[in-house]
Amino acid sequence: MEVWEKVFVKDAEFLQSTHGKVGCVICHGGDSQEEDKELAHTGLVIDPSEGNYTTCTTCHQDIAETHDMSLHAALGGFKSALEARGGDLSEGSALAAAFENHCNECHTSCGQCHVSRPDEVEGGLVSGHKFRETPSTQYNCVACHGSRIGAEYLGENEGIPADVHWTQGMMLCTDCHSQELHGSGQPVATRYQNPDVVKCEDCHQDVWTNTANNPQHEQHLSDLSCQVCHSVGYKNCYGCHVSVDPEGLPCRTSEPSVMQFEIGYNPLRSSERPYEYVVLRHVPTCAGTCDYYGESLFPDFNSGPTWKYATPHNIQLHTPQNESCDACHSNTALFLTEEDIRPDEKEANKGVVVNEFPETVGK
Amino acid sequence: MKKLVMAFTVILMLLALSVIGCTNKELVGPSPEAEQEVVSTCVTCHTDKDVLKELATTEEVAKSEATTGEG
Repeated sequence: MEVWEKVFVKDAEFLQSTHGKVGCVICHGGDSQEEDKELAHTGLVIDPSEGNYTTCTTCHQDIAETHDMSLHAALGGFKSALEARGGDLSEGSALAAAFENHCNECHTSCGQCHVSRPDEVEGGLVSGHKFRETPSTQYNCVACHGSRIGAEYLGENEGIPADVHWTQGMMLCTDCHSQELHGSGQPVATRYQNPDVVKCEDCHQDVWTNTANNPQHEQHLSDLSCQVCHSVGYKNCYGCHVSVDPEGLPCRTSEPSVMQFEIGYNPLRSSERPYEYVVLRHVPTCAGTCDYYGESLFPDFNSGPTWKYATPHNIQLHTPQNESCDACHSNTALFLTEEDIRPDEKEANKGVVVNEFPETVGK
Repeated sequence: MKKLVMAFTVILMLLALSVIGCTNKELVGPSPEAEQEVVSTCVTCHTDKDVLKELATTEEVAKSEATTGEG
């Protein structure tokens, strides 16, 4: 996107909309009477919804208040994951510095979903400053969630088909993910804790209520997550290391990602997610991810798995593992085993590694 | 009876006045803020593609070149 294009209000209709009629200066500051560019931009606020500004809460108080605690704003997922491994995020700590340099950039404001592209991808108005009630899948959601979820959903991984919800239904992210994106108003450690999180059964209720003609569903609905049978290979990341380059800029390196499909024991088993088996995705983090900032910043690294509960977005009706019973039951390659785990991560993942495999049934 | 006719006439006149007041837009001036916005240099520049191209300056994005791998 060209520099000028990022700030081009191409749709004059915006000026007649509710937000347009408010006037530029009310939200963005600056001086609307000044003709000199530099002087007109004095005190300019590029993103009025960023930080503690009350621009949005004036009219949208209910949404803005829950958003403050959402994963998109508060990054509770990052914090809880680091703290679960014994990380100290208190003010002034080494890990807090690393968090500020490398994690904090991955949050979003109201405007970075509803008006412009996210800062992380260098911003720019999406629809000529029009406020979009529904964020753009391409310019907002996938702009940040592109390398894993976006690529899976749109079929950008070589040899892996796109998600059936995209190929058959052309469904956009917000067709499934709506209220949950603004948070529930309660702090959560993972997206799966949000009571509004989308579930397959929200649309596919018949799968649960009518199993008469589907013995596979009748047999496995309560012990397998949907993705175990209906997703295919997905991206797994390894060896992320963060540091600061000689110019003082935060940087990171990671190993090449790997396309894998691994079924393991459910690390988030609950009444909401009772499945014994789920698919697991390896997260980029390793014990030495933040070593640049200090030694042993994760003293309890092994307290949680590096293979995490996953919901790959490449759902298919027919998959190699659901072709027959024994396509899965006798196929140990589908399961996360000791051999799949890196030596320094064996202890962390002992709770999710499959040791006993489902017996073959001859079908 | 006369009183009734007079009261009816007065009500009719009040109604007519209020209808005229509501529909005559000349009586309602723009608010100072709205008037100010009409001559806003923000709108003048940011709706003009050519002006924006002319005044655009290269952004300096402070991102490390040492970063490698997927995010």
